[in-house]
Amino acid sequence: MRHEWAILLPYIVLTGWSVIVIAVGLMGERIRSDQLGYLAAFGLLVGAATQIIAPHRILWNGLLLGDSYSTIFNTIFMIVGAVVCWASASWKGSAPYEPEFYGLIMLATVGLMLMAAAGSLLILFIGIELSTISLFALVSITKRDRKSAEAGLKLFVLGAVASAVFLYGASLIYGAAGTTEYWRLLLLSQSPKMVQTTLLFIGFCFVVGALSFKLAAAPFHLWAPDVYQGAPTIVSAFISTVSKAGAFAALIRIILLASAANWHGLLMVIIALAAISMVVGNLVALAQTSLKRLLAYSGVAQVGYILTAVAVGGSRDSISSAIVYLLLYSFTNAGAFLVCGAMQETTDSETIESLRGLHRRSAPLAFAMLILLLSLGGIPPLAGFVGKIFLFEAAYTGGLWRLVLLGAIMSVVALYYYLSVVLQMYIRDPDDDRRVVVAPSLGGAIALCTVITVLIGAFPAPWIKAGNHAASSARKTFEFEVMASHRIQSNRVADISYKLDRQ
Amino acid sequence: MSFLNQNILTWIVLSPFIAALLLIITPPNRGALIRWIALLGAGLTLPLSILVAILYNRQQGGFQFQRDVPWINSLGIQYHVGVDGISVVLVLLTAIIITAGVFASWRVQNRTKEFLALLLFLVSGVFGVFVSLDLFFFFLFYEIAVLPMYLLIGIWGTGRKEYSAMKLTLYLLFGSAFILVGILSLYFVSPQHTFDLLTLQRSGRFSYAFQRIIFLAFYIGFGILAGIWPLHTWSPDGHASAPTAVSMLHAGVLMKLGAYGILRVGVGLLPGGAHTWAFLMGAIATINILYGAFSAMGQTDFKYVVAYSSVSHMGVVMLGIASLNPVGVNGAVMQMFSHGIMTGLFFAVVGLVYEKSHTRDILKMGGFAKRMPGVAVAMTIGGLASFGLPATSGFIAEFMVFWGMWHTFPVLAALSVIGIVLTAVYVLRILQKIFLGPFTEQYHDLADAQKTEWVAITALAALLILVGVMPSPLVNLIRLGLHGFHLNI
Repeated sequence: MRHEWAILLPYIVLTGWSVIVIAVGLMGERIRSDQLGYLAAFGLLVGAATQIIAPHRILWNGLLLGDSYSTIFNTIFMIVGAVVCWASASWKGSAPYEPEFYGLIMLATVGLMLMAAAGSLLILFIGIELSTISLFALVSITKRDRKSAEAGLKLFVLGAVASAVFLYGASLIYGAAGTTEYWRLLLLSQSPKMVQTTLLFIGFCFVVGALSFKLAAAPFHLWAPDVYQGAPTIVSAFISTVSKAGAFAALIRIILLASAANWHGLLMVIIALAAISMVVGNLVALAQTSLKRLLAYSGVAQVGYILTAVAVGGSRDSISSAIVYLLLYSFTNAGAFLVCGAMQETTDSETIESLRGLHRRSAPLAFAMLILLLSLGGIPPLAGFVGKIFLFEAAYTGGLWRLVLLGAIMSVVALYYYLSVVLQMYIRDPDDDRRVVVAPSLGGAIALCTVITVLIGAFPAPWIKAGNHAASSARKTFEFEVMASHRIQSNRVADISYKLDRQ
Repeated sequence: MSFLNQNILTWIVLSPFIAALLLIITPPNRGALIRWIALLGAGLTLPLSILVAILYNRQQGGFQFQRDVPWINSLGIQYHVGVDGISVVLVLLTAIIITAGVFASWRVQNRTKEFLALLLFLVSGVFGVFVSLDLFFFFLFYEIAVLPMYLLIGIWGTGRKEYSAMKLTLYLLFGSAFILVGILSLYFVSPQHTFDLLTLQRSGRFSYAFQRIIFLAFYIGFGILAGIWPLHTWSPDGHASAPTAVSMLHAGVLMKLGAYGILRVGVGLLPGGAHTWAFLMGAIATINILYGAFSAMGQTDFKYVVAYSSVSHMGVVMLGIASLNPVGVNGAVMQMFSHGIMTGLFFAVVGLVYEKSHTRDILKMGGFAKRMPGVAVAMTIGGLASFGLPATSGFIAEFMVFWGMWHTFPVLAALSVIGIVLTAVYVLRILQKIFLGPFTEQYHDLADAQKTEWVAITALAALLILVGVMPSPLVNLIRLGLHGFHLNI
């Protein structure tokens, strides 16, 4: 039992630290708001460190899966969270709620981590709720701003519906199988006693639908542009990256389960989601005038690319490519939103037009945005290129060549709108020649995201290796659980975790 | 020596790239320094590629100067470079054009540093494509070579530059979507799951049905860049809007990437597919030749004439490839070299004329030979090479292409030969309208080329004649590269 604490350490550290941040914030005048930001970022990094050294075990009879898969996702969440906290250290918009702002970001991260590690629909639900409820508040943290309040309300209403759908699906699954734990569901699917497959399928469709809401995969994406636009840009950077990654982490576990249990219907649903997301995201993005809405729709399209690989099912390459892409996407897209935030500070506008002649107003900012956008567009030698090829390679090997062709053609459409932002920045002349001044911490965060984007593109091998390792571990986790339960036919946790440790 | 052998190609790819990085950190107000860094980065490739051409072992043949470094093991991707006779010629062409291009952009004043950095970045992608023996890197370099064009045309272009830049980029990237799917198919179907071109060529016995479909994907994908009709419309717009050095590089070298891709990947790996579609390729190439020539005849903008002539001449290249026999393909590669030099010369002349007269409208010019005799001579040499007069490189190339084609599809060969007459018509027309006839007095301050401006046009014009008089070194070199292909004898 002593391992329980070790596995839970990152969760405990973050939850505790968020309370500390809020408590320190109560000191009022004596603590500056940027110090709070650094404190929160430091806490997230400490959490990431504990996550990396935490042992790999299955907890509580398969409710919480502490494997390399959840480790890599949790680390991504915490590091991107730290980048967001660092970037917002100089941001004055959240006053007077700074302590709550940082505390909520940390709690949302805990929720996402639970989603990645969930081995049961119940834990998954707790994770979804913890992160979504924190996000409601974060989106409307600048509550005097009508748009922000409106965005918060929208996310709340639609999020509540998504939660209800999730719970309904979970109840159907429980009704059909009598359990919500993945490994038991897998066992049941292999036994002849399982008869309620239709009910189970419908239940999982609801669950996948609710997760698609969090992914902002079309046709469940309608909230995303409004919320990203209304929310403070730094919060949009968080929602559009790690929140999606969290939903993917949970979705991939379910897809692993579905492909191990031979529920091919569910894979068809993912294929449909991928195709619709790529088409809708890319085509609607063409018509946007707001940079944040453009990034929102481009995000929908990016989800479509990742789903293309996920739709293959349980192959190692498909999971691994999704992990690698989520990693690079998180940094790249967060960087793009942060640039947008930096522009908003100066010009008080978030239209694409407001970037006119940016290269003259701030050459480094324009260059960073150029790199980030080209990476999103999949141009070599940047991270997005390798990531996308890896995704498409996995999907092609999985037999989904039509989806790959659609994705490749849609990527060309995407370049049109990425390039029209580049057009504004580099080709058009600025309206006014005032320099854009970026606060050091925000600028540092943007630079970090840009450098990581370039680095992953130039040296993809170690990241792909880590992705492969995590993907194999997620597959093994299921196998070990099932194998162990076949042998011992009991709920003794120790045996299962012992096995897992020796893999 | 073995160190040199293994790394010389990498240095050719890296030298412009490093210069581009240096340019990024150079302060923008150091104009002279910026130009010299760019010239060094571009110019260094010239001695290196001449060295490659000299050191290439003609007894041994095949791919030489190979370097093979694993990059992503789990996907079977490696950095694998090497050159055969065909690539040596094209690397040489690229080095010549980029060096001339830097000279031609010596007077770019607006944001010089970014301009030269992008140009060098682009050209290291071009070198990369020509030396890559791994399809993943081939594709990576291909994309690097295509994208900077957007900014180069969009920022430094003239006329409808934003439209042209976007059109060009989207057309070419649409093509690369097909190439990507084609490459992934090869990877997936090959028994070893590899991107390695040589392994695929050696062991890839692809089924006939597979070859037929995938060849078509490569043909469309690369063909867009090679300017095949009816997917060529990006090219006149793009070339006409681009600044001089970019037009030189794009028409001179980049369009060859497309033809090279069809030859290396399409014909090289999927010979069955190539034989199936040979007639279609030949027919489209014939349309290219005639349509391009007719369009060039109808233009009044000097730069559009040259741009359409590229469409027509790329048709000759594609015709040679479609013949699928050693003489025709040899002629195709010769034509790539010859047209690269020739069109580089043309665009350099257009740039000079425009810079000094501030017009590109042929109807408003006249008698320019009186004030710029040197430029007129260069243009005349280029024009003669363009319609394949003996003793110019164009003659050798076109002769071999039509000879090769005659053995495969005589009807198409006969039709395409008409293109030479049409070429003569439009070339002589611009020579007459612009350089001959009575001098138009409104251009009284017109002057001949000066100092650095001479470098590009003299060198390129001299090369056209040199290769025309002494073609055998290049022809023999190319012939060594043809052994890997399954061609008709």
